[in-house]
Amino acid sequence: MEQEIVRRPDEDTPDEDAAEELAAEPSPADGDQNRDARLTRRVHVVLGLVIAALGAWLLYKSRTELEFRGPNNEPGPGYLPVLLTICLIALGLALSAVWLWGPKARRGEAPTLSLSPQGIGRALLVWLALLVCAFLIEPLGFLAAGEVLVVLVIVVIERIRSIPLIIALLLLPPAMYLLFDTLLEVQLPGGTLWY
Amino acid sequence: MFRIRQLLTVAIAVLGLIALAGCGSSGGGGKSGPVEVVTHNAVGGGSDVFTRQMIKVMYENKIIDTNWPVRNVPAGDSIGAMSYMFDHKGNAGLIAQVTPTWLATPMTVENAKVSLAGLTPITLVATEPQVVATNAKSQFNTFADFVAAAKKAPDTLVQAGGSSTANDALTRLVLQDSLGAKWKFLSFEDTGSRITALLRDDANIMLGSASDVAEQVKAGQLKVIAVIGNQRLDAFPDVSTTEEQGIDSSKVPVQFRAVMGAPDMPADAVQKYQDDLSKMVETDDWKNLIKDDGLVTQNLQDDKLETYLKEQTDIVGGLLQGLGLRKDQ
Amino acid sequence: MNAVEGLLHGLQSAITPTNLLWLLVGCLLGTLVGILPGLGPPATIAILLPLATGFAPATGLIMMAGIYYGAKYGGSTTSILLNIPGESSSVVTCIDGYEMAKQGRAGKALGIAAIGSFVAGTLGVIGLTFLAPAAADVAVNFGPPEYSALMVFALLLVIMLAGDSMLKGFIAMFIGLFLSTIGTDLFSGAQRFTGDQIELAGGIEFIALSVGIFAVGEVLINIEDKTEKQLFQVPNKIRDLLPSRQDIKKSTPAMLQGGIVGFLIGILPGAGSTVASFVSYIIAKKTSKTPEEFGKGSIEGVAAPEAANNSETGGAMVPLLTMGIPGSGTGAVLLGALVLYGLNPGPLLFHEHADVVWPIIASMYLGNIALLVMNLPMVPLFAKLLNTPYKVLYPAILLISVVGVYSVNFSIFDVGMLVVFGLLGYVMRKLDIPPAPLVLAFVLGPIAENAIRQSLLLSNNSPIIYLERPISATLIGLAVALLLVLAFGRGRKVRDQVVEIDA
Repeated sequence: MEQEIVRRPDEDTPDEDAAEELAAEPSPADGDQNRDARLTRRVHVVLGLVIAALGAWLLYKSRTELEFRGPNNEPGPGYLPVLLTICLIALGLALSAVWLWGPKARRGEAPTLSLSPQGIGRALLVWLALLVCAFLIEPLGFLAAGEVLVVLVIVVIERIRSIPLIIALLLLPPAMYLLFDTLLEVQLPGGTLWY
Repeated sequence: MFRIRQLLTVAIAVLGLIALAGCGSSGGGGKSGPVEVVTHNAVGGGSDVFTRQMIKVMYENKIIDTNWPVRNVPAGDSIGAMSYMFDHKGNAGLIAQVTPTWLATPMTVENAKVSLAGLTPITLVATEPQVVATNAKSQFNTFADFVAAAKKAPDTLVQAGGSSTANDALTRLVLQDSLGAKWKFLSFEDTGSRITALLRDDANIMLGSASDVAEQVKAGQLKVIAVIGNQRLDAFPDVSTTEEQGIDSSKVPVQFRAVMGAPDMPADAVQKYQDDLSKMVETDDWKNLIKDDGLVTQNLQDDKLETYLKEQTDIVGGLLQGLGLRKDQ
Repeated sequence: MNAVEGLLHGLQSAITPTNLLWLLVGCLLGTLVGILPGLGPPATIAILLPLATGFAPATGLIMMAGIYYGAKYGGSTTSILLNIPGESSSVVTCIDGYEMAKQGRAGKALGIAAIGSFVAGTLGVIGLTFLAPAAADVAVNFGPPEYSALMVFALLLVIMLAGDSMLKGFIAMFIGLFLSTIGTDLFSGAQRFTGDQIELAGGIEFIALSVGIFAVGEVLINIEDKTEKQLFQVPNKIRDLLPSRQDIKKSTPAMLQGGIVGFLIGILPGAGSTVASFVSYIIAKKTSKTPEEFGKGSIEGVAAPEAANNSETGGAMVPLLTMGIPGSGTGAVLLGALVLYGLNPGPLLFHEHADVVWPIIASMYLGNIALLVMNLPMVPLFAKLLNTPYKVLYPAILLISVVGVYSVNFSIFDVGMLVVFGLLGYVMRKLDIPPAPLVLAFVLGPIAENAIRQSLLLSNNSPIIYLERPISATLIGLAVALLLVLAFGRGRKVRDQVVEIDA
């Protein structure tokens, strides 16, 4: 990576001409691109710092909770975690540095991330449905919790109207129950609320 | 529309195939049969195999009339299994095959909500004396030889074993203390790795059960240089015990195999199991199993069992305390 | 009895109606079980154990071997179609397999997986038949220094899977390594980062992590677009649903190489299928005429790991049958089965019970043929499964993931882990951090750490031990060479680019 950063300035000259040509005629699409590029850059810098912070916290835990060395001075339980967390801190900081000052970032050439709020919102909604289902498995049993997930998908997330689709989805948990519990003898939770 | 039909057809076809296979193989084998035996190993582990062997002996000798299903709960190294038992208090049809791991593991975890004391004791079926094995070409012919060498060169010889809370590790601690010798301990995940370590001469000795090494000894790859304790084993009739070699092994934690029931099990159910197990240890099949696996039948029940368990708890607890791993006090 | 004689005798015993029937049942069950994430051969064999112990030993073990093989065939199906790796060896197949599915080439991927599995599986059994004693020797001589050298080598290879951003690949890898330390330390018994959660004492369950990151993460990414149409285009013509002659020709070197690599690595207890599948993938990438396709749907990228993880089965049987030392989880179950049958596995198994061992080996050849015949026709059917509207498919994926993960340890905690890692997988994908290095590092981490600590214990903390032993010295040498290639290979690439621009 060092070599990349060192070599790039040589290439700057030919590319800059091309970039200037393009920049001569800005268009709405460019504006979006720029905004995405800036957002991507900011996200990466923050990400790097977050990872470094995480690494630091874990390093602290490794040092205080675990023995660094064992009885015969060989590596103890804390040895590897300490090494790993130090590396994580270094990598996190490196990520931030590259995206802050690295040549690719400055020119905004790196691939942008797609971070649309609607998309993320939908995904998180599905994830929440899954979370709710997971919490409900113990009290309600797998069958009921599965149906809850399916109903959430039908009503809240996808707003399905077509009857065959609804039926197919509602049949999924019982089908799985049949497959796993009855035929493969994998006992699925019955629900502590009922029993 | 068309796609849904396709999906349903595929689904039904697959289910049909599975049904065929399912009917063919697991013909009604008790999912929730009358008695379930819990073990803390995954399938194929030592405790699991022993449990299945026990059930097989009882079934083939018509002591029990159905093949009791085994439930493997490997999560948490016996804590998962114990939690399962605690979740089914008072259930007369739930027993478990218990080993010292069930004693030790809860002690190493803070606020473990389960412990062996909560289960209903039924019977101590057998104990598994540990044997000391070395490479067949090793210079040590008795354990006393090894100890002498260890005293001359402390911290050079190597014992291959399991995790540092496993029985063989704790045994080493006791022996080192009482003998005034020191040697290194190399932890391996499973028995196979320990055996190859011996074969490779990376380790000098290994402590394990007779069944772990019997085949290798027969093939002339390993040899057994002592049985820990005061009783010779039928599996290795020519091997002397540590007592005979002048080594004190009274405080060594014993690898035992007990059967215990769900908490608050009704007394008549306990009695029935005790009777069944007493019948089992009288059978020829059992005696052969004992001989092959290098076990010693005990059949301790009631008071004697309680005393025994308390003794072992104290021994193991003390050792774990010494290691700084005891978290439940 | 030498190998050829033994094999012929074994074939004779294996081709009886009973044995063949149960072989087929085993293969079928294995395939179906392999398709479902979480439930693996160990669990299936466990369920069937009470029934199987009623059979003659050879029959029961033939069926179990069938399950073992079948599961490897089945595991590739969900990896390719749904990006759900059923076990650690299927993770690498997801990389190119799923890309191919997204491009509408699922049928080809599935087909080449089946064919590659057949070719390599057969190679593996041939290795088992003729090379068992020599292979056993190698397995015994692989001690902690050798393992740790191999693991370091493998971890370096993982970086090569990182793709475009090495930095992010490293981050993923280190996070994976760190996650693998959570649990109980083997040497000291200390609890590492378990935060008093008893369920974590055994470490994070691999299936929860991999299914969460791959399957659930993938669902969450796909769900962002509120489109009505189905996710992937699936061609209608049968010809497009199976690999073409060209495809097969292109993948042949990968299949052969995978077969050999898989067997060699499969011999080593513990290291097994994960390492085998992605070493084979990397070798295929380096020796391919089209390396840039890897990661974007290269058919060799599916053929190689699939081949490796099937011939690995043959390799894993070597220590089991020659020494009684199981090489993998399934091996341990088979070991238990052998004990229950009263056949004590050990170095004398071949001699004392040749009448059981050789039929098992012979049946593995037959099993490979049977599985190819069973799987190839199903390929178009499975590929068409992707025709279902995503709205129905993704809840099914989520539910199967939940059940599959639950079925491993019967633990709700694992399902919770699944949900957590699902979110992590989603976040990683959004941030363009490659998931494969994390998952692979998670598997390799414990083996590497334990091996290194064992080595240092043996050598009194002196690293010289690595150079004293021939095998580990060779591996270290290879690792160093690889490191140099990685560091300076990129430099050369950049230099080439500069030269191009200047010209």
